[in-house]
Amino acid sequence: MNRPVPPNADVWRVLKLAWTLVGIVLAQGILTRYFQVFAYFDLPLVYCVYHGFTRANRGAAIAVGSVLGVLQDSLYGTALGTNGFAKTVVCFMAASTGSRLDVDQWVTRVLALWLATFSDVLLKFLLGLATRPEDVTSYPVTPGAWILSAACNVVAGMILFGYLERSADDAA
Amino acid sequence: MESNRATWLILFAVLLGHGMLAAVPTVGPGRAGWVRTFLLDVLTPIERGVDAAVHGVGGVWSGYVALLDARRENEVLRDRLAELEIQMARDRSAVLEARRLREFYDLPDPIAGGRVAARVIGRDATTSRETLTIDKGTMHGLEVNASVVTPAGLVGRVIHAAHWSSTVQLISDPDSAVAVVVDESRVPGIVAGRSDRALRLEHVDATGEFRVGDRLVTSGTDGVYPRGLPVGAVSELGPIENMMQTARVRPAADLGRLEEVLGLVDAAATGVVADPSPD
Repeated sequence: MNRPVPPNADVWRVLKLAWTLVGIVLAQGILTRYFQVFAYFDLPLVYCVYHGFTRANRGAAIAVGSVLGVLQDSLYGTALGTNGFAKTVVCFMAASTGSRLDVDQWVTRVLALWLATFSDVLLKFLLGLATRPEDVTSYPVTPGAWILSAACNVVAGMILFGYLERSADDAA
Repeated sequence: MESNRATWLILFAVLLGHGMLAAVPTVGPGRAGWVRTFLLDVLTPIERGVDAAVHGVGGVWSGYVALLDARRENEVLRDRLAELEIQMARDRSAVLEARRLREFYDLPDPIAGGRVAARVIGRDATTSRETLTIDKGTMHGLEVNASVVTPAGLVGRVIHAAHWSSTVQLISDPDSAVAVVVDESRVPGIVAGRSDRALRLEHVDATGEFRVGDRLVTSGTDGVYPRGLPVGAVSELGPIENMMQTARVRPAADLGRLEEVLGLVDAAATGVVADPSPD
């Protein structure tokens, strides 16, 4: 016998997701304010990969990537649309490949997070070149900073995946 | 199949929307963008609340627990205060002399403008940007391009001003460029941010003379920053590129540990800010 679904379950789910997205973007800014090392992390990007892999819903991925990107752009002074564009693509790609790959394998997750970081920087750079070439004077991130950022995102991603899986197991 | 095509169409439309948003010049006076202003107004109160809570907990620590060295520190600060009072007495006569000369030669009055003290409540999240979120906005008199300083020197400028908060671009941001002069020799140049978060002195004529340790102050010629704000000091001479000298610059303000800053209100670009410290 199926458990009855509360009447406003969908509304609550959307509100919970919205609060999660706002929380992630704010957490990124607040943590970086107190611990500079968090400048190398991109928590919204990590969540994009997590959401894409676990839900494998491409429509939802477009919405989540867009909202996270626009929130990030608004709070941190990037040209509006820059992170929205990059995060939408990353989240969509994660959702598209999530159903075809074994996302429970840690190797898959590490590679995905690494590729996501690279794609995010590259997409923002290309979008900048396409829309405001006069403002793009050099590659935005040095190779060292990019590698460090990718490593940090992998660590954050593995912790997030592990923590949420454990929570799901406990709930079951 | 139909749903698959619809998803791709939605993706295309959304990416096109983001691309168009990115192409619209939302940065600049009068183009703050209502989307950004709205989101800043909604999100920064939450950020401010979290900051206040963290600050409160930190205050208990620094106010009660970490006072063990306070007496020794107090003595050091007393000595420092005495030194500064002597220095100030000497400087006062120089200021009065400068004022008399300005009147004598009929030079424009220095425009001090107002100052708005603000607290840093957030910091940019990515390695390619260097921005801060502060808890003061247009309701407090801050506008786009307002200079932001600490008593030690220049921090940056406001690039987006919402009603109750603003985004500040640090001078170490890769997109930042500040027109400066070497304080002693008056050689002009540009201090630019770099992607490795360092500051670099550029566009200095090959004949211009400066050395390690020379102080750099804003020249006011970029139309953004008021004249006379300390920017930093030359820390290492760099290579000559395209017949122009370069150098590494150590910022005057500690850009990595900013907690409170001052926004300069109505400080015209050609004005002189003689003393950026709070009243």
